[in-house]
Amino acid sequence: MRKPSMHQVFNAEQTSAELERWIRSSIQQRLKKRGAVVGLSGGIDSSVVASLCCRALGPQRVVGIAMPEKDSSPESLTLARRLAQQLNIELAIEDLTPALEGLGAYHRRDAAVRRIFPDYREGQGFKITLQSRPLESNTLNVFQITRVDEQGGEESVRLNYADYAQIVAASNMKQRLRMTTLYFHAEQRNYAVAGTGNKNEIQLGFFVKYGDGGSDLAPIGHLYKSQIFQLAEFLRIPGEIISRKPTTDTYPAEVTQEDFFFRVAFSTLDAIWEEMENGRDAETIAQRLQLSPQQAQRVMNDIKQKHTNTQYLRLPPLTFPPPAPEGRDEEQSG
Amino acid sequence: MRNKAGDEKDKRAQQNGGRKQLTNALAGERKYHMPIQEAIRKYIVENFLFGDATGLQDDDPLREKGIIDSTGVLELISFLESHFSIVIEDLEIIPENLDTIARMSAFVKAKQEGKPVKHWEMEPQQEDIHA
Repeated sequence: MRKPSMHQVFNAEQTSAELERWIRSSIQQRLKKRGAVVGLSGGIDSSVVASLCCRALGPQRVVGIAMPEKDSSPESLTLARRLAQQLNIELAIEDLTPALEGLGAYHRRDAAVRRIFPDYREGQGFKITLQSRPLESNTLNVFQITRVDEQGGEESVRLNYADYAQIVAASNMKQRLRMTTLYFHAEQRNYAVAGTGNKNEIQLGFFVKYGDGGSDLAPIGHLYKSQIFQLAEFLRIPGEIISRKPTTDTYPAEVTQEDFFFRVAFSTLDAIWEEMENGRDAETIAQRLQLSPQQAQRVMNDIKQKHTNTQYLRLPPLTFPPPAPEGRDEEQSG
Repeated sequence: MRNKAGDEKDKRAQQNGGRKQLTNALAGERKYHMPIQEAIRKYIVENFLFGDATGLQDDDPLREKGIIDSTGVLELISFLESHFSIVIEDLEIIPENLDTIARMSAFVKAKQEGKPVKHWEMEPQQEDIHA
């Protein structure tokens, strides 16, 4: 007999009620704060977190912060405004471009891009993506840079380590500046910062340590992306936000999270992952999800590798002596 | 995607030339007489293990053992291309060529001698039944 799918098992209404109670008690009793600040990207995750916070605390105790910069899609701000209006919460807009210019984020990043494309001009579109596609091949995870011209033509080159590291390190300044900005607004009001990371991002390492990973609570950190879509429907998040393709909104050319990092459709990734967590092997998973055993095994390996490779992102600063015995497992597996 | 397949190899070769200037543990002491396997092992021990080779076997799966991660794979590719003056094609970046010191050594040797190496072939893509 086929196991019921995640869609049948997940109860959005009950999950919302549990999270609302948890958010309220966490902010009031554990964090001793007066409300919540949420960075609004115009995407589904931040919209769901803002909506949950509103239901938990009341809209008068929630502030949304939109943080556009020169590479952001204009749609991000439009949708953030629409959500704030629907939730009836205060919205602060912080243009991060001058601060990022001051930090040299664009300059440092573009210097590395020009080592690859010597004729690259500031303002031209480019994006970073992973080459591997676990459903189709067993290639290792390496990144490529794709330049997009005015006509939409694309040119891709595999990144070497030095260029990759410089582009990522400079781009991560954006997430860390967003965190800094959120904490300004939070501390000014004695509020907590509610993070917007989901299970896919946190457990597979698709976040910036002390960037978007820096928050006081992570209300949807245990939820698969597929579950967040269901929660968003229940919370009546605007349709254009739910149907918007999740993007990184970090590079000058738009890139979906699937192209940039996950490389498998969320629905397939989450279904395989959930089966893995239920202790099923590749043969069984393949049969249940109508994949080949090789495909199931490759996606399982990819999940394990990404989780292991990014263990350090989830660790707090290490202190001496190392904790034992629970902490030892964590560190040894990383 | 306009991937300029015909020019790709030339461009990659040019880039590879540029990469020779990049950091790698052996750049300052390149020894062409050093056997391939020994040079790869030396790089891995110095770069990833801080000089401590205890227990490292040439057939150890490096990713599975947590010695290299995805960033490490990038470092390794840069090293292999610059140190051995080879161009590694995207299709060749698979565990069968790069997962152990022994496999890397055989892969580099075959590339230098112009012999065929393993590469992946795309399986027919199945419909995403969950989309």
